[in-house]
Amino acid sequence: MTQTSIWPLGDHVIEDAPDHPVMQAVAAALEPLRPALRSLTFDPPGPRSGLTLGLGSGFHLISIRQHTDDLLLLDLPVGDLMQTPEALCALLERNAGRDWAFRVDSVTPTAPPQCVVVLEHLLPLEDIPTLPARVLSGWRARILAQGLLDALNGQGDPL
Amino acid sequence: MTPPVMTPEDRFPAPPGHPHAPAVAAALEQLRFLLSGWQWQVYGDDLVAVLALRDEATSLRIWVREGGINLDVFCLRVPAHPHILTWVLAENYGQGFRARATRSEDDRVLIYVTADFPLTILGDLAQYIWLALESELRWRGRLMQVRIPEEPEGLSA
Repeated sequence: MTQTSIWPLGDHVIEDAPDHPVMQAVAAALEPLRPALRSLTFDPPGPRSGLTLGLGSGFHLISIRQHTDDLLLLDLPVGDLMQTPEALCALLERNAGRDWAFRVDSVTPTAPPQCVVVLEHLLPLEDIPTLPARVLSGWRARILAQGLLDALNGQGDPL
Repeated sequence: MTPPVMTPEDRFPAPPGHPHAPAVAAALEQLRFLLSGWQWQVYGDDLVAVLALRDEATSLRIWVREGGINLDVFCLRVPAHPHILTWVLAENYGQGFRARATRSEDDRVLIYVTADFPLTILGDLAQYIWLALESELRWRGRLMQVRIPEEPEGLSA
């Protein structure tokens, strides 16, 4: 990667891709985003390769992992949500026809229980060259979704 | 009639002769992956660049004046309803990028997100443009969730 970041990188690193054909293709495709990256780290070698990048002032983390032989899974954590039927239905209603779909990861047994909301996107390996546009659309979707989560958690309207 | 084909030179024209244009152009080049085009204008001593965002129906204006730099992004068109406008003004409290608005002809309001900076940020302008875009998305994400309360029934009885 040759361009400089618009952010001070500090202790954060931009790693080179390991000797893995899919990760090398992903790293090459991400090159245009280099000025916006705050970090780029690759998973240790394993059956399913992957990387995590940090983007923007909020250091939004996006993981890109090989999901199957044909697909990459892009993951963007959004935040915590109260595990109420109304809130979960609101997320599911918004999944229709969207590139980035909501899913729920771990659930914390607080009162009321909280779950971690993630936006995910499946990308065929043949579409790796479109990764910059996919990552940027995910970044936009993630910031927009924060307002939704705040509203569903009852923090959206100060009036 | 076939529309004219836009070349990269049409969409990304070279900067005009203005003392601050090279610094602004350098920042725009860093963010070219976000943009579908830009335009330059010079008004007297002022320099204006208007950026069109790729995949987004919005634009960002950079206005470089003697006294500083203004960044201004179009955010959302909302009903001119007191509840929404009060919410916007309340949310402005302490924000770096504040909301401003103009009234449109159809009883709607165009919300923009705006901030002023000293000229000393010119070297880091790309970072501030990114911050402006993030702020606009945050504002839009919150604004999209504001609901106009229903009028209580029987008030007029």
